[in-house]
Amino acid sequence: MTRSRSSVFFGLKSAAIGIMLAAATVCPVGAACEFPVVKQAIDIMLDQDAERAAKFRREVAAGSDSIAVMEALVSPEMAKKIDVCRFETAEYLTKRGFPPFH
Amino acid sequence: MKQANQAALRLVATLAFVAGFSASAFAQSTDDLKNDEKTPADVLVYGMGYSGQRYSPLTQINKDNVSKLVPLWGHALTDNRGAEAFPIVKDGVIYTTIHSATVAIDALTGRQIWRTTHEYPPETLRVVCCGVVNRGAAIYEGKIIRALMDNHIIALDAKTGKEVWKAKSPDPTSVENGYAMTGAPLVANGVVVVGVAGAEYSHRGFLEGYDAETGKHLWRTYNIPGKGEKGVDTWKGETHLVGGGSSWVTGTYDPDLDLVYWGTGNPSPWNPRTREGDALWTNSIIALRPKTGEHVWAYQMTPADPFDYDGVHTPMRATLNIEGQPRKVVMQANRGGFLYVLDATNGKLLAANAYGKVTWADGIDLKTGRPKWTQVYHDALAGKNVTVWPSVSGLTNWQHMSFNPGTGLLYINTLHIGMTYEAPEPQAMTPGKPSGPGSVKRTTVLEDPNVRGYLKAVDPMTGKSKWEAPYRSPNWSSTLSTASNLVFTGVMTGEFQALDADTGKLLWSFQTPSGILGQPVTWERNGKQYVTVMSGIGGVYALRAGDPNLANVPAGASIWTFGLFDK
Repeated sequence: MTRSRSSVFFGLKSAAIGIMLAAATVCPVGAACEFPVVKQAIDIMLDQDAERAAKFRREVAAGSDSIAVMEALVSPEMAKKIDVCRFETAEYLTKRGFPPFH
Repeated sequence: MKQANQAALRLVATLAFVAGFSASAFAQSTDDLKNDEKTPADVLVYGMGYSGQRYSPLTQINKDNVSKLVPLWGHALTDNRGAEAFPIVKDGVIYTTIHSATVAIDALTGRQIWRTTHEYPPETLRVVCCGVVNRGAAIYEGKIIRALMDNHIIALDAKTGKEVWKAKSPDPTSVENGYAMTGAPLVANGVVVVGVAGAEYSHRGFLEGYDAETGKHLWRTYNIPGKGEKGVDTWKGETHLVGGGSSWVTGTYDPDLDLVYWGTGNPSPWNPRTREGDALWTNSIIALRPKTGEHVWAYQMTPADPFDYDGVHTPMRATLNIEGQPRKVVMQANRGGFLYVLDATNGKLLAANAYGKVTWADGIDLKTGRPKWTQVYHDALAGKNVTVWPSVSGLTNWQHMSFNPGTGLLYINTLHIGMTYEAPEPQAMTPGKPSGPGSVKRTTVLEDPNVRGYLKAVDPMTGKSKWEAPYRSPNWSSTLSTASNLVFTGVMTGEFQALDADTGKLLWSFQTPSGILGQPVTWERNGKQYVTVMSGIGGVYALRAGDPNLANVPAGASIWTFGLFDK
């Protein structure tokens, strides 16, 4: 009694997909960047939330890294999304006049 | 029948000859690479030869006729990222790279011969601190060999662009653990030597060797010592495992000594208050054997660095006359602002002088090799707010200097930017976690917003300039020197320029479509000299400096070749 090659293949494929899904769930680093969501959060904070925008500007002017300040001022969930989109966020903050220095 | 057999034999012999000729025309043996500097028609090794001097003996383009230099062709590379690559030139074909493609171009017409695209997972960008770039490929035995951003090394057939082999850097090298590859490989003694980026993401930097023929992984040597190894006591606890020390800029090779010289990057995190000790061998020059990765000697320029003064600038080889004796040296214009000259055989420090404004140290003690730290440095380590020169970007960054043996001068694109700096209470680090800019505070300090950089002609033994040409923004292009005493360089606003190597006078300039971060090379074909450079703004300064001078520079990568107008 042996399994057909195709059923072995589909079994392995299912297992591989399962592992990939599990990895994607537990590994935020491997998650895809959802930059439109991040951009919207940045725009809302800088353009519509006067209190947090003032704090952001004040801390960046004092020398703090703009990505680090942004991460500290948003929700933990959004901070994770910013981390995944670290490069795109840097590009956008530079366009908005807050380059994360290096 | 006999005649037919003879004809068939002649055909076979002819085909064998053509095949043999074709193979030899594409073969770039170890000897060809060794002789690159003596064969200026082609450009085979990163840095225009194993010394990395970026010097050509070609003189057809000179001070009298450089004003007649014209663009012969421009080739769009279909990309909006930084164009930082070193073009290779072999038998009338130019090979160059961007982050996502390798391209072969007819050197005389600019027409594409082949283009091979490379894909990488989108999350790779998370650990690319300093621009989505690639700095070039190596050529060896008919193969174009390059690194990919997601830590693969790939060899392509130089004739077709088809994959010959592909290797993944073994674990723990991964994007998740903070690693990326942006630098060009160096083939030395048949081994592909590559480095990694990622010291801003709590990785542990290393160099690796791969068999150039097969891609087999031969060795890995960490730039930071492991448990039980000499120097690990310069790290607190287990911090050496996430200690940075990347190797993202290509080194040089001395075939006679069989030594590869490679610079290492900053310790992780930037914030020094989690660290104790010198953090060996970050910010160092390491000499190692290409076949085994064995460390032969190492010298650390910036012990216990708080300022991101990477020591990655390519250690350039030369023979200098020192105290009446010719001496093999390696020279590095270090990001911290000192120009180091070391004995190439043993790493002994021969000279170290500031080549611009430096406030964190008064000099380097030639006996101990250690910096003479100022109060600025000590206050920075204590967490006080200080003003320090140069800034985290360095007095120079990765852009390569060139050396003209005729003038005896180095031609260095420098920055003139300082910073305020403060290291607050630090946080613990884990692999892959950001550990760079977010760990300290910093603001830009300028003396003159219209002079943020200079091209300098510098004496390697004194650090003093013979001349300095100011620029509104620092040049991120490398320099190229020729025996006709010209210096070629690019400007971030797109001008490709030739200057008088003796005086710094601007002799010629051409506006390319984007900013230049590229590495100019010169070569010869059918008795005519050409100059080639890539244009395309991007990289760390454009992305992160907030320089207002660059606000209106359009993106777009392209490669250009120039020649004298002779119609």
